[in-house]
Amino acid sequence: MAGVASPLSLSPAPSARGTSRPTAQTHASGSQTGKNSPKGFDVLGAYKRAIEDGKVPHPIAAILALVELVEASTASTVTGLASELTIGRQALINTQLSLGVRAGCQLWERFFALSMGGEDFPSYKRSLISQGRSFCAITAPQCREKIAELAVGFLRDDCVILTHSYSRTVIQTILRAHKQHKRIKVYVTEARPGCLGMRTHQVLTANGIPCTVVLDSAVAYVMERVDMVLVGSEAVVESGGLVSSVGTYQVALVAKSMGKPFYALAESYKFLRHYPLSQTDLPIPSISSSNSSSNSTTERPLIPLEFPTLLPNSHPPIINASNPLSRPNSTGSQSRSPIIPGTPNTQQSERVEMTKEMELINPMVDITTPDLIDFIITDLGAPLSPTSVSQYLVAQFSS
Amino acid sequence: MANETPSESSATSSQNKQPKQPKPTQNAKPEKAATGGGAGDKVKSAKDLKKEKRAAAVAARAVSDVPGSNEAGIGGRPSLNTQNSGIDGGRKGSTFGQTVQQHHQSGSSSGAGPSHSGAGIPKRPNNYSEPSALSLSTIQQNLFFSHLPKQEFPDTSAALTTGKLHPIIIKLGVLMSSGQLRGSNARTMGMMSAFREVIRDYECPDQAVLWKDLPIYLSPMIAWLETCRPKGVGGGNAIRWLKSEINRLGEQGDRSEAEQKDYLVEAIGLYLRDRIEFADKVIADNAKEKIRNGDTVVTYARSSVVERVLLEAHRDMKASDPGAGFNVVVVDSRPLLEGQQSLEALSSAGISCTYILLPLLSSILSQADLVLLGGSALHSDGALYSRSGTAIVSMLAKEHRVPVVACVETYKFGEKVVLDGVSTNELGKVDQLLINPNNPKSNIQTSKINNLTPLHLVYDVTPPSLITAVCTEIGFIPPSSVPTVLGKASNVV
Repeated sequence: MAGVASPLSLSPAPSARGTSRPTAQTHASGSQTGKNSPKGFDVLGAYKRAIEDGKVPHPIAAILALVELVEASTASTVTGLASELTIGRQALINTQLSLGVRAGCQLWERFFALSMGGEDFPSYKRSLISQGRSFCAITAPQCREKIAELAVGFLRDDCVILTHSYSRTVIQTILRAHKQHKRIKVYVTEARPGCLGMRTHQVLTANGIPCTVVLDSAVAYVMERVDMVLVGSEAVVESGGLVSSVGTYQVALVAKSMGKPFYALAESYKFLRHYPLSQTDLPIPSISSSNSSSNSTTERPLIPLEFPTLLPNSHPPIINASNPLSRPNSTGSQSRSPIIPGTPNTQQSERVEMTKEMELINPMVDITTPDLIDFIITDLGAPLSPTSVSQYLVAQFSS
Repeated sequence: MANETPSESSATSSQNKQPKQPKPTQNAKPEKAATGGGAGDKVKSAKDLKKEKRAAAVAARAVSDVPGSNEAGIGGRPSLNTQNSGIDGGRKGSTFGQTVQQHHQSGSSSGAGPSHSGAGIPKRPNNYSEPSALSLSTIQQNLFFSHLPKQEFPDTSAALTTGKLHPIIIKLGVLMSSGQLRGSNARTMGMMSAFREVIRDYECPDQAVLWKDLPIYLSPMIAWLETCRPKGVGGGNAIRWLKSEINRLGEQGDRSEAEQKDYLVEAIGLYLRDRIEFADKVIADNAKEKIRNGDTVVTYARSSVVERVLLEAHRDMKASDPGAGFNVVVVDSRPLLEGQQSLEALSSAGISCTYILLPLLSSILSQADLVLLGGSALHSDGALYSRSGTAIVSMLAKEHRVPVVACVETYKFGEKVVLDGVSTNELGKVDQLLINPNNPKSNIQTSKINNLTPLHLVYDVTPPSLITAVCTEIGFIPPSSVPTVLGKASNVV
């Protein structure tokens, strides 16, 4: 029952991460870097290379790309380098959907500003590069280690954890606890549309940890047998809230209402200077506008929201019911006339897929408000309450 | 005794608001009765009253030991009371006595507790009449708000004759007091520019040192401005900054008087520019990002910063897309009706506006996307000190899950913690309060009714839990981060 694994027709292994880069990026990057970076350095390409192996998180990949930009730069003054960096940063921020990229760019910008001055330019540039590289190669992976070390204390023997989607930090924490011979049982949500929960399942069962995939809609159902909720994050915002793959907010709401502790894991390089007032208030580059201007394929991860093929195709209303994203008004019209634009196209293909418009309004991330989070475990030391996270951020950015 | 019945409500309220006082009454009462009624109270000297109170406090302690006494818990508070009477002398004491009388006439219905009604306190004779024509300020002293500074029109002629006040300061004081210069930004800017003029005109006496003499020269002016209108947290911060700047002149030494004055004049200019003008600009830049096409933005009363945010957001939106726009709902309330000025500025800029009074707000808020508020101060716990009514707006917004953004410059951050709007506030003018614009004939003559207290508090306190975010010149911060900013205040700007 609880193991409602839904191995349906999962899209064949979502490429790198659910939120990771789409296949068709070359067009945009080619045209953009051509005009953006006068030296012809392809910052987006560098970013893509960095993110490709699937081990590097978005902020670090962005920093790596910027370090490469500094290396390739032929500017001879700090100002020149700064302006090139700004252009590169803008190119990254404006095309990448992950907020982690923005966080990484902000971090690098601050580092660049703080380390400025003192030495002559060539040695400054060299130290910038070496520090950036060592940060990405040594400090950043250590962050995750540190978090796992801190978070493992929260995991008791014989405890049941619910996690959402796929987070390397969460997995590392669980594996660490496993190595300490703690018996741990994990529920993981399927996390549509990326379905990265299946990946978590894969990794954990391969390591011999009992893991069950539950439907996103079954979160409330399993919550009563769960001891704690542990999630990763894409970014931590100034309010102390969490930007994470869509569905985290509802997991947090359910956990709160059932009195289960909700812990978030976040590396400090994911701290983002932004204060969202609502779910829609995120600085994610709008897809529609970039579409109209560059006329290229979307930057959005093309993981089609598929519908189980076992459902009979002749019943669009049922399919629609399983699709939480269609607007109520369109549901009404669909039940009357099944074939209208904007409904799952059942006639042409065997598979039921969402239309492009439906995918566009489909969010990839949501914001978990700080009042729902018990602790954010970071590499900064003792677990922080969301309030202290925001205080830390304000102190960092206001200096 | 026709006015006995209405007096009950006022007596009840005063009784509620003085929970620390029931004790003294028990003891003081018989003595007063012995002196022969209410008129006797007035002649009693402050000294006598103090004595009485001390005795009462002792008695209170004794009574509180009696098990089952319902007032045992408040035995520890009379100190506040004695302090008050010490400050204000006999007048205060006498009004206190009247409060007590009313309180007893209204009997046990006011919830005074069984210990009072059963104690055999002598009742006033039925033909006793209240001392007539209490002035407004006396009535207000009766109340819970008696600690607040009285609002009196400043005595300009007396101020002029002292010779210690620069004319520009007197002019400024009158403007502030009359309400022509309103809004904490405007007042702070006015005050600092006035002091800039004062410093320009100032001539240091031969035997004195500038950095020692100037603060002494300025302090009567600061005190006089304070009597015209309390300067608030922002103004207080600015004055403190000015004094520290003057002090720093002492450390620097060997500079001519003219140089030192030039330095101060320039520093004040920089302060005004950086902490207020530039801060407002940055706040507007930050906050306008949150206003999107088609939004409905709610504002309350008038705030120069909020006005600027809305105007700039409108300008930017029109520049990028002529068809785009947003709606503003200006919420206003009596008696100041400041929102009308705001409305004028916004609608003349072409923003589509709706004007409502506060009672209608709950119906409007369900359609709102954002509430933008200004403020007079932001206390270190994140509580917003702003025009009275702001707390209601934020409360309703929270209820409707509309984000509330307070736009406050960091110079208005105060290090105090204020728990309610009672301990710190200002008494506003009450002359407009009882005037009914729809029916001028029904105006209640305040001077004829002595048991009526028209009360107008200028500010209220919005607790931090009702504020989603604070927009400052260092960006958006949660109200909980105010101490972090305060700790770094010296580094900011």
